[in-house]
Amino acid sequence: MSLASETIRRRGSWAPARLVAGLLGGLLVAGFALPFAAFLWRAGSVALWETLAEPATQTAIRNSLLTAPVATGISTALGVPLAYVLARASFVGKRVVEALVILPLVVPPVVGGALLLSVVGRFTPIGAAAASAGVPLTDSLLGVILAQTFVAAPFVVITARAGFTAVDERLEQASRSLGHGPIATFTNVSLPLARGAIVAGIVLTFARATGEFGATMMVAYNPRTMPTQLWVAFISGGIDAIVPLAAALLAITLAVLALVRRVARVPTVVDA
Amino acid sequence: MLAAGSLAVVFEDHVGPAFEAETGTAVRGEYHGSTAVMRMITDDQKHPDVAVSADHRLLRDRLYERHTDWDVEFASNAVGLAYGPDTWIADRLAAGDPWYEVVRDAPAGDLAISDPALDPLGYRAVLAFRLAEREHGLDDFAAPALERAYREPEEPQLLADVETGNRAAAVAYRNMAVAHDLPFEPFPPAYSFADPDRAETYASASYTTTDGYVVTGAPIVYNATVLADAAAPAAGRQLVQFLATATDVLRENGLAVASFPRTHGAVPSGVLS
Amino acid sequence: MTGVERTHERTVVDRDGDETPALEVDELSHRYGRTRALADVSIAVAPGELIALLGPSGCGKTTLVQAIAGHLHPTAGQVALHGTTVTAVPPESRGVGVVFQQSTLYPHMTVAENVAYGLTAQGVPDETRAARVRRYLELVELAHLRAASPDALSGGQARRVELARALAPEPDVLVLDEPLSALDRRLRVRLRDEITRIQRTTGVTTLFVTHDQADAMAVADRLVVMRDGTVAATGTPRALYESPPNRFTARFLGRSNELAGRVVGDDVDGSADHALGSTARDGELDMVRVAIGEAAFVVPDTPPEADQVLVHVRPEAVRVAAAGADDDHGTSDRDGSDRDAEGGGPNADRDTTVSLGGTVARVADAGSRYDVHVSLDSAIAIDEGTETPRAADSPPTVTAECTRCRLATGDRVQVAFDGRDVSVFPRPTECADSGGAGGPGR
Repeated sequence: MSLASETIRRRGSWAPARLVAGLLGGLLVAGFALPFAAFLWRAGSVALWETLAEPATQTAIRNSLLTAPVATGISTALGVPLAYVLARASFVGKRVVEALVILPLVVPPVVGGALLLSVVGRFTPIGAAAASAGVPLTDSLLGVILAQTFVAAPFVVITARAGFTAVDERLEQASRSLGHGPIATFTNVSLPLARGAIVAGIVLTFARATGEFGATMMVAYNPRTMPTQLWVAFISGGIDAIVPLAAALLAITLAVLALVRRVARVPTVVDA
Repeated sequence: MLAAGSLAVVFEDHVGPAFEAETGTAVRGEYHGSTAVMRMITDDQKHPDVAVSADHRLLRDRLYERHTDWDVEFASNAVGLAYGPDTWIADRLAAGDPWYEVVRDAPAGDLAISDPALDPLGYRAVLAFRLAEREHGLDDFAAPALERAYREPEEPQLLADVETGNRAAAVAYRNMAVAHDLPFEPFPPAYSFADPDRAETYASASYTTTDGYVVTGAPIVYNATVLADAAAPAAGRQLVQFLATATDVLRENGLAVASFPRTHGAVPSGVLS
Repeated sequence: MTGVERTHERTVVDRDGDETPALEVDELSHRYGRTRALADVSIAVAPGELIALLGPSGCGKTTLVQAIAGHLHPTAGQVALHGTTVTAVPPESRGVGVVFQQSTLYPHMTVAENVAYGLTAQGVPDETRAARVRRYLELVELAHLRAASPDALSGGQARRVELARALAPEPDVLVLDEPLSALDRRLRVRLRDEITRIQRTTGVTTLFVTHDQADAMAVADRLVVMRDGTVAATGTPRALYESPPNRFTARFLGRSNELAGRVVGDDVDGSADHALGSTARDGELDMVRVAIGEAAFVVPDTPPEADQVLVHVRPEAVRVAAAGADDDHGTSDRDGSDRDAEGGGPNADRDTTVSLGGTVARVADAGSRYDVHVSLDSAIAIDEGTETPRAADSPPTVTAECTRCRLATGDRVQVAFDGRDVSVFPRPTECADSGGAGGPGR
């Protein structure tokens, strides 16, 4: 058989596989796209800009932009080292820690909020102490950050852990033998090589924190974040009332994704 | 402030901003089903200054003694059928068919009611159906109709479903239909729970909730109180006062304000005195 | 800190004993859970030496490397560098460079940055650092690739960069853990020579770990052979090759023939009969008289502690000649004067040569030589697979090397070798019978 016909035959044998992959993937994408399409179609008939200009809306947007990045920052700062420890070390009770990390993902957000309240509620020791110190943990932006961190942090921990596990331990050993201590090794070798996974985790965490509602509703219904304000608008005025806010939420998420891509120079789920 | 979901529009768009404009104090409202509101307070999960209920007896039953000893009734509402303007239900009603005939013919899932376990609106639907059965001499109407109806746990979702076309109709309050711009077919006064003089008739139907609380039919009365452990009691009382006297606003939003406001219990000075 | 104390006998590899070893491992043991990886291993490496650690996979070499480099805390024993105990010291403070079997070059750094990586930890100032990087890249002849990315390098180039990286901080000890195993043969030989050259140039004390005996013997000043977590033998390559101290080492270091034999009588003049072998006399070397089948000969070696023995001889030391012809094929390399020097002329009791009859079973052409496989008449060869004597119906063979003989299958031949080329080991007994010489039944 000649080389040319061999190549053609091989190329042909790829087609069915790609077709199947395309079909399955297409179904998922359609599942995402259709609701948005239907939603945006409604947007044409709605007073978009007026609603966005309302003070309540503006406040909600501002609150979301204040809290979600902070929650993401805390999740990353605390979560990445935890992920490293989980990836490398073994210790008594590791299974318990792993289960705790996944817990906020499994539990419905509202239940998560109730759990948080049982710890930082107004009349619990911690909550009362914080309130008297002037930094209340419920019904405040701090409370919002707390709720967002609770539900969103697992994302960055899990993805970062996968990223660290994928780094061959010998690379770290080589670094140690070359004179760098454990922290320097983490900074020079593990972190850069796991960067892609960590950035993906940060993006997921931010998205989750921004969209978080259930736990926030319990711990800090007010001051309102975009999702909470969206909910109140929904209660009040139905689907049409939420179009402007939802559009704003979508726009912000896309903007953040683009920013992350540019800064981190890493392809996230949106790759061009 | 924790309030019944059906008052969301009233507070967010009207009472809230007006109150703030007049007194400089912002109203931070949270809206849930009234039963959920009461539970959150009695479970010590939330600590609002003001609680507003869509069922005056519910508030008294749950909050009196431990959390408050007074309330102000400020409005009533009518229960009826809200429906999508382009549905077969709309056509039938326009043709003059009585609502119960339409409901009887509705396939399962076309009609939605609020969840009786979570929302007074839910058990009011149940009671209305039972009263209607008696009123019109209907044979075996209530039970099957309720069986076929979908129970929506989230009250706001009720009319959203009708708006989007997910459901054809829902048993809802008039003011909700007004807020959502949906056509509304009110129940006759015999079971709309809007007439305070028909308290006895309403009381002839009863419903037992899952936690054993027996509800008998009664006129719908919205009431509000300031909780004993409120962080800002003075502002709370101001809000209740404001609410009670905002009759125009309430009426415009589909609430019934005739013969309101009324006080109950040991109302503190400064509130309707 | 003081050096390690020697409290009792063990296999210690030591040079002259007067200089402090650059690296010393003392009674090192390690368990993974229940599995024992190392058992009381003790090694000493003098400064500037290149020691090859040789052994089959699973013998504990990597565990030892990890313990020496500091990536593993052994369950017992000590590691010392230049006399200082470092067992509890973390890797970054030990000054032990490591090159692993797989490449550990950092893909997110250039070649030069990789080589400089160890220097940044030491706080070496920028200029010195740049000069050092250049120097070591030149040492491995890759200065022209300083700006390249590691993925652009070939296998051999990557290995050399790793070498440069490990050497640049100028460590006390360099450990190479199977550095050539991932390379093809030609590259392996080339790189092996490179490593030797670089080691001589820098003078860094080196531990070269491998399972390949050819690599080990080509580079090492001294060999340490390991088996199942313990040291089996130590010595110079030649000494271990020619006079292996135990059967495992003998078989591991090269091709071998093993014949079943027994210790017979006493060969020292004038002594009373001893049941077992001979003992050392003043002024005389150890000797033991061994018989294979009916042929007896003397082996200059410490008598083994058994009377059933294995006689080990390498194919290149076995001469084969057609029966009846005088055996001068290859005898010329044996110096007759040695024998005479032992005291008197050839003496039956002192004769170290042995000759056995047999038939050629197969002649293999190996290019540079012939391998002649001979079925022996009387001797019993040891079946390598089962380590028990073969059944009588399966003829034993001995392999001899021969460069210019013209033999064919079926030829009657005489196979001869000298006791001085032989190592004698106790024969492992079968579990079923005690001290079994074996037999047809198993």
